Amino acid sequence: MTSVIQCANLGKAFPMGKRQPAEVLKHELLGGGTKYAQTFWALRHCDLTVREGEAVGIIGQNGSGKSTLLQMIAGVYPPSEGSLQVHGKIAALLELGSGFDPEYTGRQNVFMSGAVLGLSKQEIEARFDDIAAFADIGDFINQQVRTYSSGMFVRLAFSVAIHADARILIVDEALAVGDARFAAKCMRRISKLREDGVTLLFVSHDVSAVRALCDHAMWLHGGMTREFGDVPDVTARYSEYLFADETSDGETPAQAASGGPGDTGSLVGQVHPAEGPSTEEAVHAEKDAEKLLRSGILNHWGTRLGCVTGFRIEGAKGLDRVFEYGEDLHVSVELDIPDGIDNAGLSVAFAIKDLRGADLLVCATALEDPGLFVGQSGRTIVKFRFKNLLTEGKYYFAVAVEDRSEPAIHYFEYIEGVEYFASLSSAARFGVFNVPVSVELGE
Amino acid sequence: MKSLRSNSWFLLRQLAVRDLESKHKGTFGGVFWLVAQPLLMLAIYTLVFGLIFQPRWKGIESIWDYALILFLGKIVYIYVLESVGRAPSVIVAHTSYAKRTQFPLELLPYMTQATAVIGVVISLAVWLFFYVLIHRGMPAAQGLLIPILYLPLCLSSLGVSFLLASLGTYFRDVGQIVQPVLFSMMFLSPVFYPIAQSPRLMQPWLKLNPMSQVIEQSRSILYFDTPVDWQWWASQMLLGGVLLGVGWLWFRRTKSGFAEVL
Repeated sequence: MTSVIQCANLGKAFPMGKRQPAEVLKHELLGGGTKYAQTFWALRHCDLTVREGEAVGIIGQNGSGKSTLLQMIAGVYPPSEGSLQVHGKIAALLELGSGFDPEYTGRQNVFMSGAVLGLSKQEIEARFDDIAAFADIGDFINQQVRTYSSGMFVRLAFSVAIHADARILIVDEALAVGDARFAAKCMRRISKLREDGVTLLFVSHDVSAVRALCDHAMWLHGGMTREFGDVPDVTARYSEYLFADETSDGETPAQAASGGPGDTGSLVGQVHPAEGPSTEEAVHAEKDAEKLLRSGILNHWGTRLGCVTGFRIEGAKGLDRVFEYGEDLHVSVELDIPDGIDNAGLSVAFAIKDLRGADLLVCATALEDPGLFVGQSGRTIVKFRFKNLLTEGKYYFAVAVEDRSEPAIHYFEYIEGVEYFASLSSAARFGVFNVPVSVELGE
Repeated sequence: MKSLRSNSWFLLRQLAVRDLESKHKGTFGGVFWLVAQPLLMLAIYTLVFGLIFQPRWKGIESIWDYALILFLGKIVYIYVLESVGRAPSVIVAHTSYAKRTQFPLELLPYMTQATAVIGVVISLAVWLFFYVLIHRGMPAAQGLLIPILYLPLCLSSLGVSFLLASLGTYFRDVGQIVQPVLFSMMFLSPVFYPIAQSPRLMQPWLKLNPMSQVIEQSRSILYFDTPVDWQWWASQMLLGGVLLGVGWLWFRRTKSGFAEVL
């Protein structure tokens, strides 16, 4: 296989603030090193070799240099340093339909943007029906583009781009615009193009889309390559990083709670009344997921606060708060059994909730192993083991120490949001929680 | 990145057609204006110069011929106005191509050139129509040399267009300067007078203006039946070649900075 894209020590500097046009012109005319007063390296020391037919996903947060890399490969900007070689025709879906003229009909724009993408008149005519069929906008193809909805606009632009016979396809978040059905159609089409040997560069925040389409992934961080390798590994570590970043704001108790047994006693003290909703209604209300994540402990109450002294979750693969589907998980709850209570009714329970607060799984020792704590006192560790059967998403734990000796459960301590985690899946799984199902062929 | 692609001609044609259409897009007259504008201009020339000013042009008696002679010069000026005059803003007007897509920006000066040439062809057709109407016969066969006479001017104007397209992208003020400069060029070329009537001292300088060669020589062959001054033509070809070379190299060298300043 030959390499179609080869970047060596590639870098792009932008001046801090805007450079005077005269300076830019002087630089272009006379060449020489980039001598700005202050420069910002949007991307630096980037090495990337993409072989023909490969699919590379590029992940990273906003401002990590993803778009700069793609724009250089697409030929929009010249690199500031390093070398870049591209062999083969590129169709860059960077900003879909940017060449569309709203005054013209869809048909006219198809011919125009087809020409920009390098097609001849005969070629466009030959595939016009396919383009129109894929865009699926009906008679609107003969209407002025300004009468289009944004969805129709993107569909037509995408349709032209994928029919341009490019050997290298660059897709940058473009799929996020259309509706879900069209996005799925695009994904199928991209997979099809991949089978035909098209090289793909795919940028997305959506880790699952990268996993579905790509062989390799490049994680850019702050303009540098943080990791490059096989998709599952890189995306898992990226998710782990993202997750840690979301929850560790320094002030969130969730992090303190995850600190392990060494933090005994600190848990209760960390709960700031100002943070997070203090009433149950607030918790049960459907809230913005990100806001929930940042708030750490959502709810904390009971008659013997402080009896839960630690909470830990570990996966078999050792990643921090990111677990693969099917991975074995160990939850350990460390508690200090309160004095003077009836141990026979004592139960430790945990629940996994989705970000809207719905219980997905609840496990209480009183049901699994009644009387587990009889004879125990003081510091005790309870371990739960189970397989992670959650589909991709973000979830959190609630933990409770309760007295179940009476029909009405009495709570010694209840902590909602004691720990957060993300589940990853390489296959497209639907639903939320998959109990083991056996499959066989019947008569 | 390749500068010329296999479908460049198709792309250029698409661009030129769209550029032509866009001038009259949304008007009721539409493409009709392409022909109506030179017609109107010719009518105004006849009225103003034929009836009001009534200046003398050696060897020309009829006011109709006088208007047609002036029009031959005006066509050249409008050609330069449409190609060179638009060059400073042509990249700015297509910012999305410069910033986002892999697009051969060289085509844009070619595009204005193409639409300007189409304007010349239409104007010359209008001119011919009225010539035939007045004289009840075709002009001299030498008139077929007109496209060749235009060639040196095309080279010069394309070269200057490349230069101005680049400069105008870096410095928006260029567009403001170019208009008055072109206006003065109209008076410093024999649009309204024959070079022979200008002061002797100025004549060599006037002849240097790329517009002069076309204006003077097209009148010579169409009205005065004098042979083409091929030496003048050749020197203008040389000038055109140099301007095109310089302009094209300048454009190639500076285009990578367009995206940053737009």
